[in-house]
Amino acid sequence: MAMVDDLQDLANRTLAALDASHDYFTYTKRVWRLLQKLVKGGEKLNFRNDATGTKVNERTLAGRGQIYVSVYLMSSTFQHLVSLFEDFFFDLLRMWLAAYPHSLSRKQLEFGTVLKASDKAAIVLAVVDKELNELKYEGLADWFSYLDRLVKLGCPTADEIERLAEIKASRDILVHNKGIANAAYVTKAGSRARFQDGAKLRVPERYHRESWETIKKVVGDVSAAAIAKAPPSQP
Amino acid sequence: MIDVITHKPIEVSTDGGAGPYLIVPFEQLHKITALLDSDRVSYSVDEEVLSVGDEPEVAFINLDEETDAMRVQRLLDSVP
Repeated sequence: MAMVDDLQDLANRTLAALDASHDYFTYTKRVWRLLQKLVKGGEKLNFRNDATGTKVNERTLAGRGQIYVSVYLMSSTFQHLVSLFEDFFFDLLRMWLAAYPHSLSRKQLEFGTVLKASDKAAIVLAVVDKELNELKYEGLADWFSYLDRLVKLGCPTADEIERLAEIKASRDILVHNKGIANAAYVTKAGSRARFQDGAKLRVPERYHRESWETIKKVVGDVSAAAIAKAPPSQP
Repeated sequence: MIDVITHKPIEVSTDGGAGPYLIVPFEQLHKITALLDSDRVSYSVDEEVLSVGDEPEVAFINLDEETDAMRVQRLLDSVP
């Protein structure tokens, strides 16, 4: 498959996955809201979880619905959106570096890796993966600086990079610091920081929606710009 | 404040641990949020409203975890 086709496929898959994730969030939330409304209207029920031994009636479940939606669902789908963005970004870089590996000319590889490689393409990918694994530990703004050194795409905007940096910093706090903002969050989020060191990080619905919109726009813009710069398909 | 659909007083639901919430008729949403604003109650409103069958739409108002549910209930009860 030509690089243009690969990039288009990556963009299509990512955009579809972002929509699917938001649909999952929205419709799961609505089902919980429906249950809460039915309970308010007098509906009775009893559920039991055989695994944990817990039992809930309609009132308990309606209350749990509130925490399941506003904490668990909001947080897990937000993290998924960020994961989709990261996968997209690094898959795109991997494609680009595999096609144009000259920027990695001075990188070194253990000879054992060369011996195990089936062909030159496998050696190139080994170098690319090593490079990207190191890049993943750097800040989000550094990711885009790296991409910009490879190819001038003219996007995303500085404002969008700042928003993404805060989104990624929020995700890191949810995953690695029990949802409590720390100094690393404040540094990574920069001027977009929503919380101070020590504060409980929240994912309000509007922020969740805006994060989805930002990620979707950046994925669309970056992939379209990359496709425009990539060599066209051969007839 | 009386729920125009059920004709019962609007109640703050306090089950669960993620903060109290209100299920209110959509046509009363503006009046209730104005009331909450006037008393500086922190809240968020779900982006969507819910309607089952031909029933009128209802909206969900999520109050912050730290919100004093009793205080909000008194606030609602103070409106005829």
